[in-house]
Amino acid sequence: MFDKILVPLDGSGLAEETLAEVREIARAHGSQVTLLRVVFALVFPGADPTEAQIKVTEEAEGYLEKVRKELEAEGIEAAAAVRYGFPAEEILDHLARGDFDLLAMTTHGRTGPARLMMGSVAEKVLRSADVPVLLFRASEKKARKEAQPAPVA
Amino acid sequence: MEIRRILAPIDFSERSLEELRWATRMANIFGAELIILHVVPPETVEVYAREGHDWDSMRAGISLKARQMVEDAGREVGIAGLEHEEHIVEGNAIEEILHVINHRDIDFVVIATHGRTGISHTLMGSVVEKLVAISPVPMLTLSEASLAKAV
Repeated sequence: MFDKILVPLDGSGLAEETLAEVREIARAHGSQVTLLRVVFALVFPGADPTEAQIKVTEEAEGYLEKVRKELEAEGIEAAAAVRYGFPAEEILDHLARGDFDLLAMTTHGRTGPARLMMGSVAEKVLRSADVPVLLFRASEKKARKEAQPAPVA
Repeated sequence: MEIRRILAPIDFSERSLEELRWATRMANIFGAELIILHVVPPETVEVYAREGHDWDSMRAGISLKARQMVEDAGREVGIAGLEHEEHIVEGNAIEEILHVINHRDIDFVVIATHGRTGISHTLMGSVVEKLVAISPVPMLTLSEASLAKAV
C-alpha cells in the first residue's frame, strides 16, 4: 500500500516538513522514498540558458543528496531525482513512470506569489494523480507551532 | 504526526466506498478512530419534509447506511472492528466539514476528489478544492484516476 512514495521537494524548509510524516510512514511500512525536485532556470531572453540550467540542476542534486543521506542514515531506503521543467507536469510524469503508491507533498511550500504557484501545483497534481496524494500545509503547521508560547529559559 | 481521529466525508457514491477503504487503512495504521460525515443540503431535507419524512428518522436511516458502508469497506481490506462514528448533518458541505475538523479534534482527512466533468465536479469537486486551500490538517486526497486504478 505504501511501498513506493514519491516526495516532491521545492528546496524550502517548509516543504521539508512533509518529510517528518513521510519518515514515520516509511519506517512503519519499510517504504522506499523517492525525493523529486523540479527545477527551472530563468534567464534573460537571448542569453544562453545552458549554464543556468546546469547550475540549478546541480544545486538540486546536491540538496537532494543531502536529504537522501539523512533518510538512509535512519534506515529508510531513499532515491533522488531531479527533473527540469514545469513542476506539476514533471511531477505527474515522474509519477506515471515510477509505479508509485503514494505521493506526499505540501500545498504551500513558499510564501508570496510563489506560494500561490505551489498551491496551484498541488491542486493540479492531486486532480490528475493516479495514486492517493498526501497533502500537508506546511505554512499552517508552522504557524500553529509559532503560535504556541515560547518556553521560558 | 499524531493521528487520533480521521475524518472521511462521504456522499455514498462508489468513490465513497473506495475512500472508506483508504480511511480504514489509515485509521488502522495510526490506531485512529474513524469519523464519517455525510452532509445533507437543506434543500434535500426540505424536499423530504414535504413528502412527510421527518429529519430525525431520515438521519437515522442515512446513519445506518453509512455504518454499513464503513463495515463493508473494512471487510474488503481485511480490517474488522475499527472504532467509528457516523455523523449525518444538514447544511453546507464545506462549512460542516470544517466545523467537524475544528470541534472534534480531527487530525487527518481522507477525501475523494471528483473529475472535471459533470455535476460531480461542481459539488464534491469544489468542496475538495476549497478544503485543500483552508484545511488546517493534513489530507489524503483520492482522485478519480487513483480510484479507477485501485479497483
